[in-house]
Amino acid sequence: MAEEYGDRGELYFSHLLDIWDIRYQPKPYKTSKWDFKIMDIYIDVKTLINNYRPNPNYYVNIAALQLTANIDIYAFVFFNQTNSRIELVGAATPYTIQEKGALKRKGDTENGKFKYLCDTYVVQLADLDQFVTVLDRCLCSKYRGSL
Amino acid sequence: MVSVDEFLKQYIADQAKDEKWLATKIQQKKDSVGGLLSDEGAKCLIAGERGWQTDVADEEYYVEGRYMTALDQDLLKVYLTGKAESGKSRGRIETLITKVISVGDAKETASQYSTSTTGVKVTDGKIQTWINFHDKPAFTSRKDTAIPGNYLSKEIQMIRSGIIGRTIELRNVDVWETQAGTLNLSTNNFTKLKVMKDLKEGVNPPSNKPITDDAHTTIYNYIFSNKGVSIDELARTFTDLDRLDIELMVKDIIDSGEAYITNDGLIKAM
Repeated sequence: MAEEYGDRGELYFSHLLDIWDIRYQPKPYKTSKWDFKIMDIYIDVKTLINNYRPNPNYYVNIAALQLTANIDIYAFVFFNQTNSRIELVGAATPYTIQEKGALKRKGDTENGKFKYLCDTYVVQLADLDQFVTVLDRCLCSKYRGSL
Repeated sequence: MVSVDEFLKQYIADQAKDEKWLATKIQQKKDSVGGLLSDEGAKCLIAGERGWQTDVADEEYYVEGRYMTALDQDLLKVYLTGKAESGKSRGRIETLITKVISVGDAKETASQYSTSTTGVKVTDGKIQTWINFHDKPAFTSRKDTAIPGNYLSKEIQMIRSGIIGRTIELRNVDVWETQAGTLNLSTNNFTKLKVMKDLKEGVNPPSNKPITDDAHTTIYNYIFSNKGVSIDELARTFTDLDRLDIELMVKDIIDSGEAYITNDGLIKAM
């Protein structure tokens, strides 16, 4: 089921890239670590399933093991189950997630209700940037690196 | 590597276009994403769509003036010195400098030699491999010597949030031949871990101010008129420049072989 939602998130993201007229390369095979490649910038789309509209106070999470320097941008997509609406809520580099996120350990609980099953980074939605802004930073680094 | 500007200049000449065409394309690119792209970013995308590629071989292989340790299996074989009781080859790397790609979760182990293990994925810029960081309890050797414990799995977990993308230096790393014949890297009771000062790209958003030749020359002259300067000192002296810009300019000067970084982190002219 999670895989199905993940695919929907990726499909939505590919539509956005088409609308923005940004050329990309989709992942070469199903189990690829990255989902999209823009030039040599690797993007991983994380789809989060919930029943509410995105709110700046909400948190997005990513398993700590999945956070890797091989990925340049993590894009977070919200899938609202109540109305099947998909929304790109923001993006961050692995460095931003490390800097601004909190590392929750396996077994930690959230309000005594939710228990983390593995080490997980949680980042507030307000700490995420717009995807294009993060992409622009990566492109600027490439531009300067070529000088 | 051909710069984006050079590539686009050549493209314009080859395709009989003009600067106006490029200006229009940049504006179109910016408009398509609601104006969130900078000129530099838009140029990069336009060049990328027309075949410009970054040179992968340009990865940083050194940090603080020291080269990263090659992690190629054939090259690691040179560290094998003897055979363990199991008949498998083993050896020790005295200093291993490498960049951290990702850190795994800690796994409890039932072994008497190791209480917990964390796998750390590292790279030398080309090859990616794993190093096992162990929690090694203290023990008494056969010669009745007390060997201290070394809890590197715990240590790497403690600094986990902040280590990805950083370069680390490890002293005394074991190289083991596995059953499959491949070489395995792991820490022991004497391994020391040090996180090196690194040029972390992507942390600070780059400014929109382009790096001018004047700024480059100013930094260049300052380094050459002083016996040794740190990045901090340069950032304090040239407050009108971005720290990331200064770091990139210093990297260029070091790349060109005209300066180097000392062990104290100072930049000195050759």
